[in-house]
Amino acid sequence: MKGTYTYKIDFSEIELEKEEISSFMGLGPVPEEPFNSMIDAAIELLSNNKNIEGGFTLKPVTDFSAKEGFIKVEDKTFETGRMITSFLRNAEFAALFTCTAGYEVEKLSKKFNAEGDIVMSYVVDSTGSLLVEGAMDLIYEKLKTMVSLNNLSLTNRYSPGYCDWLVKDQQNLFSFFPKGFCNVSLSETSLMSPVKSVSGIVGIGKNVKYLGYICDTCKNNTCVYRAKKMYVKH
Amino acid sequence: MEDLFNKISDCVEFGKINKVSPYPPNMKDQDGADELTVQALEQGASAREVLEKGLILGMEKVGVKFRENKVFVPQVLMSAKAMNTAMEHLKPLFAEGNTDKKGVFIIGTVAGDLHDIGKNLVSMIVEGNGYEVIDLGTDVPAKKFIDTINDFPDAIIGLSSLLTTTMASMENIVKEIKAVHPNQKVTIGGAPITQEFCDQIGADNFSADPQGVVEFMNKLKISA
Repeated sequence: MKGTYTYKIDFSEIELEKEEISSFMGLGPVPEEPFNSMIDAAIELLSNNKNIEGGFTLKPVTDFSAKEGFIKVEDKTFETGRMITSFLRNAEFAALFTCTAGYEVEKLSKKFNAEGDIVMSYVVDSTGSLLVEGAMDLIYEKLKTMVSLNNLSLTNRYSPGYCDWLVKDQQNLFSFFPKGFCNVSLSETSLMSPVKSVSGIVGIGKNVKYLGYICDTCKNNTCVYRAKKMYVKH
Repeated sequence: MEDLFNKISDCVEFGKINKVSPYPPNMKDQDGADELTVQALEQGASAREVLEKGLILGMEKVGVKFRENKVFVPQVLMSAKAMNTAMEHLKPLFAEGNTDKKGVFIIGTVAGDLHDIGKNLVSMIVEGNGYEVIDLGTDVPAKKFIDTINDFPDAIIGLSSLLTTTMASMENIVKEIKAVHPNQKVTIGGAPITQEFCDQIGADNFSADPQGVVEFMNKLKISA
């Protein structure tokens, strides 16, 4: 398997639900006013966003050690940590991905903040977070369809910055992408721009496993993310 | 007057900005923090009284409710907005030297981390409790904190981090600050941060919620 693929995603394809945004903000599935109207407004404003895009490049996995916590893709070594590496066990290929909701989210969020509407700024920001995750869900499904033609399966998607995978590995990750890939760039400290962007790796192979919500399967019982039951989407 | 202060406190606690604001539904058509603050000032209350007996009390209650998961970020922001609206009436009076801030708080999300919601909440609640807040933003290197301490030597520093992987950055920043300013007080927080980590890196305080930061700063102020 090889190749590099990019996708423009239309806002309507993501089918962002008001209930999902409201729950994400801690307000439950049925938000009261003015949050109800604010979510409607955020959806309406962001529905004009034409810069939602993402993609991936497919590369062979050349080395792997769960014990040492690394996975090598072509000639680049990712120090993914023991846990993520173990979840990538049996991967024959890696899909290295990025996806963005574009600059519109942060522009709008900053605009409301500057106007003193801090609540609307937060609603837009939260909606943007779900937008980029929703876009990446669609791209993940496209990848799944592609690999299933070769009788292969996918792992969850894993990102630098989570579990023990250091953010600095973003530099390695982005070195696989053509310049300007999906209009996502990295800062010196390896942070993505636009802010509402995601990146990471998906393992591909005959015997890889999709684990769903990994906090229940993780052996690290003292992890704060598990203890605090934080929203972690994989 | 006490009744008016209590009403102002309630408006901040429940996020009632002004009369036309529909939130919260059970306070619809009632005066909000905006109108009540004007009324209190017109009736002779000082800006300091409105701040301390009304606004700060309300914000303290929100901080506690947030800690107890009784309210979430949007409700805290509504409270902050109500407070900000009232503050617009008080700021000109403060500028005339009518009152002092309790102290200065310099806050930022550590280098390598762009997450700012937790940091912003802490900023608002600390500010709402009477402190001046200097927000350095996100992805902040040690040098920027140290440079700002040079400008505000009595300030307290707050470091925020969401990612487990930027905890190392937090550790480096604490060490660099302490190397230049050994007595500088640093409080840390963020989803992956624990008291054990705080002890390990030599920070002075860990708070799991914004109200904890306020309590730490109040304690320092009392002991100073």
